[in-house]
Amino acid sequence: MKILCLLMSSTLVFAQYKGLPDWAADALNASTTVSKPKADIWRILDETRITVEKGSLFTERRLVQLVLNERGSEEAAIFLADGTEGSRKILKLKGWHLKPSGALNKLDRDNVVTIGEANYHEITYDTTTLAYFDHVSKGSIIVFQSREQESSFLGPLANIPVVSGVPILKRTIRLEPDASNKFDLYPRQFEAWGLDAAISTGTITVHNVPALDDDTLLPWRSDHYPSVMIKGRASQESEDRYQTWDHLARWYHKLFITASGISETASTTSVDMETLKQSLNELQTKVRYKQVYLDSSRSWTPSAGDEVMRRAYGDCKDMVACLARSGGSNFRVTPALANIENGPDVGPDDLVYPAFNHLIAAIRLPQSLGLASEIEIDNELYLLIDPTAKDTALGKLPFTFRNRQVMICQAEGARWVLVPDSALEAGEVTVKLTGTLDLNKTLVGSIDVLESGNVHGLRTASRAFNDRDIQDLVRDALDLPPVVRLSNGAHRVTDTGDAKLTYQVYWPSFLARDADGFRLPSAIVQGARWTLTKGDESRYAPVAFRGFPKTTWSLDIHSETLLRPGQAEFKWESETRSFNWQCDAQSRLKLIFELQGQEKVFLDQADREAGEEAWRDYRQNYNAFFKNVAILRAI
Amino acid sequence: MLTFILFMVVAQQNEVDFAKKIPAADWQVVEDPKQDIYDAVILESNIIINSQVIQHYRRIRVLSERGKNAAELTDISGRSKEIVGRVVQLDGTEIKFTQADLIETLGAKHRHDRTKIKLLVPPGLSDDCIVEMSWIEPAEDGLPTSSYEKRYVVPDVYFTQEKKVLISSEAIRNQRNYLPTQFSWTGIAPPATFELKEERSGRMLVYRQVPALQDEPYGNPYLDQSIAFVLLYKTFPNYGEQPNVFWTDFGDGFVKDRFNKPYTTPSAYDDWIDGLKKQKTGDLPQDVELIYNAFRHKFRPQHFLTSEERVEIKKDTEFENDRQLIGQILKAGYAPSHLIAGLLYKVLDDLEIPAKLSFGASVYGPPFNLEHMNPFTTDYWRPIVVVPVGESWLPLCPFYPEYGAGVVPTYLRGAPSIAFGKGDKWRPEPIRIERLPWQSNIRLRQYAIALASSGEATFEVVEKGKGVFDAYTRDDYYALPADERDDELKRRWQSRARSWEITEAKVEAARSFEQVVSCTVKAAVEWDLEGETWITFNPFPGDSFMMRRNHSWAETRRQPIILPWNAAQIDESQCVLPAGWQLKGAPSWEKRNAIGLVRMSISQQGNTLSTKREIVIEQSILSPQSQDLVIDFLAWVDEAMKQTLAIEIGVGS
Repeated sequence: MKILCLLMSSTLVFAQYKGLPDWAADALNASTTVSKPKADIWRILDETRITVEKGSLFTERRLVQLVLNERGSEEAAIFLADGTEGSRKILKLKGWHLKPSGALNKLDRDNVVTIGEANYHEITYDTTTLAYFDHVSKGSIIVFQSREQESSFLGPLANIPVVSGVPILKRTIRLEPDASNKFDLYPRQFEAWGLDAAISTGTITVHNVPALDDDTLLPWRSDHYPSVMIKGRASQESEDRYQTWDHLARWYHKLFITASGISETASTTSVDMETLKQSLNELQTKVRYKQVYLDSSRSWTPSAGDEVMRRAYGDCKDMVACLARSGGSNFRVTPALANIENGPDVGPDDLVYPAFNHLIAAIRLPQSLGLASEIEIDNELYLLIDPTAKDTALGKLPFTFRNRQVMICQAEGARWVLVPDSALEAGEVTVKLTGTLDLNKTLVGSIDVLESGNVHGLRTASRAFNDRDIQDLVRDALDLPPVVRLSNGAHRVTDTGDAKLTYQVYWPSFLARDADGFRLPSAIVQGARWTLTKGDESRYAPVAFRGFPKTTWSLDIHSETLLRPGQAEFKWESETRSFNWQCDAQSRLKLIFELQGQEKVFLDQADREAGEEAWRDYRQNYNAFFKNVAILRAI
Repeated sequence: MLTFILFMVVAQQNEVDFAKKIPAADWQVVEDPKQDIYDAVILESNIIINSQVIQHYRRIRVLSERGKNAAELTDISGRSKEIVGRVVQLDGTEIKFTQADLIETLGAKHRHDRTKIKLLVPPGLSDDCIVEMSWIEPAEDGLPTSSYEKRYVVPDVYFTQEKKVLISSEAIRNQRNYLPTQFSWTGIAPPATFELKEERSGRMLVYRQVPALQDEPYGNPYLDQSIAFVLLYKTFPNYGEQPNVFWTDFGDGFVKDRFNKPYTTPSAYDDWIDGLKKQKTGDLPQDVELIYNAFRHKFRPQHFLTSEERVEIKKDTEFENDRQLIGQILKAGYAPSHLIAGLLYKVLDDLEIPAKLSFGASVYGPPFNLEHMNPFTTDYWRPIVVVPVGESWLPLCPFYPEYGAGVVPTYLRGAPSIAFGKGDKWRPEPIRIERLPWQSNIRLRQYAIALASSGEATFEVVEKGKGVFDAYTRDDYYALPADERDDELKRRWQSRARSWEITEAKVEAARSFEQVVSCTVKAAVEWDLEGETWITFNPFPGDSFMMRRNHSWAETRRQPIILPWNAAQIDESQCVLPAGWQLKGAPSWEKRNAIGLVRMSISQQGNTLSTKREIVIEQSILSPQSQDLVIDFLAWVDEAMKQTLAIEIGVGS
């Protein structure tokens, strides 16, 4: 009797998921005891299996998804895979769609298409392959299985994301037995995101990964998100480039020198400002920044200096290669790997991994030239130059290098340096608005913009863009509403590198009726701040405050209607935000309003509450200011 | 073989001579803000159209860093061949393109079909140089391979000094009899000039001093007279060469043949028709509405099925437009989009309602011109049905069932169409479906709000739409199962009324075609009023504007302004305040111009605070000169949408 029952139930199990691979059926069975999340799609299984063979990385993905709501059917029906012609391809792609009726569809080859990603902005061999099912609906079960091969120039390495836009019941990243002898898995940011992972040799499994929601104040850097890095195991005998940072630096130094055609025997007896300025200027005038990535080696290997000059375009590596070439035998250029903007934070104590998104030049100086971006290493002086920063003066680096460590790749090994704050181009924006307000509260007058440190790119624009594009950038930088009309523009760049722009302005509804008075436009005084979460939801992701340069609006406007501000003065400051209001109105509206933001990321789980509190505090104070202070009432 | 030889011979004859010196005048070309000349100038652009090959030539003056983009070649078709060129500097040095500069990447791959993209970045560009290049592409009957239509837009991203299109005599001569290619073109508005030269080699169209293309919101580039076009297209074979004969043949041949087949009617269909016959009242508009509602319940395209219906479909049906079509549709459970109008036409015919099939152009697309005899500018494969009611036409759009009788998507109104019907033996009748006044399209939200002195607040809002707004709401919720519908409504409001907690959401009549869809949402919040003497209150929590409005505007406009519709958004709020609480100030206001009206009406009677916000677009198709009026109007919309009310908290609360 017992045996019969067992047989019956197992038959039922098989019948329920008939036609699906065993691993999918197992995952589905395991899910029946778990309560369904509140979402449109539930990913029951998301498994990545990795093996390495003859220097190529083979990745098998297994996805099992349940469509919980009709709204999720379109998204659940699709599978996407990245590729690159020549180095990354899909070897096998299978799919199953088990409909609520019990009918099973297998993936039809007609429903698989690969699209090239190249356009004239970015020339690349990257592709995206899309596979999809028709007739997916609520209750559908979608299963995908793919096997991909990547033969990367960088060798078999991977950085695999863990979270996704849908909740995941079981996320597994696993090394196949043959690979787990030679490779290791490194989980990153699991604790920060409160992910409870089971880690054993070669396998990392996380259960109940919440979906990444479309939230505010999310981290913008890729290394702030959970991932699993895969790297070959270091061995004493191996000359593997990823063994230490010195290994990586030596390898890259050699690659760079060879490819760029730089002379290694360049002497450094004299390096003077004039020669440097001239070389840099020649390079930046002749060579346009343009990215052309036709294979993974191109993202690391510069083109030969001569070829870059012939083409007259190149990216950061190409320009460093050219700088060396144009310097001739006068100075020695060493490549320095860096991360800027959204690139990860990498330093000498971090896992050795080739995660860099930028390259700059380090030039050996026999004596100081008195420049801010000079750094000392082992009693030797070097000057850091970013040739792609066309508008940044020699001796300075753009603000995006703040708190970043740069790895100088010498023949002997790696030299890490922290970019000194004094080398950064910092700046701010001051906007003067003068004119007259008519009875409709329309402003007719002029706007004067002063930008230092190229913080919004207005210096670059003033030098290189046409009038229309400059105006578009000004609107964007100041968040001017489209209803504002600007005309008769003039612009110049001062000797100190400040950009000065002026326009005549026509601003309808400059003062807008609100409460029992009027408010200034949100470009000047932003509106009330939102709550961090919606309704009674709780915050799952880390809280990240972005920094932004200080903007000061200075108004001197004649008004037909006599006005009085809610309060003449108000000032508030916290670790992340500060603002200052000084207003004197009657028939002349005189206002100075400053707003500034400092970057801070509350990454760790333990800091989640502090992050939420920091926002709450700011919101409360700002909203009270906005309501009570930043209002103009007619007298 | 002959084709190949012809291809090679023609290609040889028109090869560019790169040994030629660049004319001195070319170097004199500079930027000129007054003429809107920036970054680069197309000195000369030539297209030579032969039957088997199209030849291209360009010479470009680069004047700035950004102007270098003008010299790049992006060929999405991947069919360009023999790309040659050079970059010349002021001092005479020159660099020729090499194979290394031409990059071929994957366009798309599907099964065994692969297309390419070809990209060329000329080497050695400086911000003061001249680039010269030529290439060819294969053609059939003067059109790029596998195309039935090719529209050459004369203006470029940059100012063009001269653009020539030669329709060669050879191309005109060597047309096939069946499906010949038609050639048409437009003139151009000053300050640009147009010249037509009849030469031995062919018909030469010369455009000079052509301003750069300008992006204009709510516009239609096809109505911009400074945008000239040269259009080549295949048209219907064996139809007359004069417009009236052509369109008569089109009606008698294409329309009647495709949409008026002698369909066999299964008994299920006959019974249904009989049932409807009995319900007719004799009042035409009422009957049309009744029949159309019944039609939509029974016959819908595949993209407008309920989720329950979709699950039932085992696999897609390949519909054959033969006598058995109606049977196929009943069996499949849905109708094909491109034949559903024919089915509706038949139903109306069986019920003795006079109707026509109307082929219209989009108000945002190329204007439909009878003289051109080009059906491809209309949605020729997907007509709508129109019923004559008095002096006007009542339109029905069965492939978008969310729209009720007399309501159609906005792109179909205000543009010319051509209609055909059995009643007058399929003779062509040019018609227009005009825009309706704003009273036909209203989005109404009515709020009931209660505030307590503890700081607790609740609201209930009911949203109903009239005209297109009812259609949009129906489209949002029709397919979803009941619980998902309510959840989706809740999700949308929660996202907008962020700090409130949505406690209830309900969608009613989402699947009824007879009633208006109604959405009801309830929410609650608790404010901290400690220490406050007054509050700033949004009488319309979770609100939104009916139209997208964050576009950038060009300084001078050339295209007419085509706003989505004549329509009104009306928001009403009744708020019960605690005793002693009082509205501060005089917040009511009204601003109006030729576009329409923005009005805020606020008053307090006892404990009840009433707010009404009316935003009315009275005129939606306007001349380019009206741009300032539109911008001002949108500034007032911003003001009305952001406005909150000041309420003094009563003493002793």
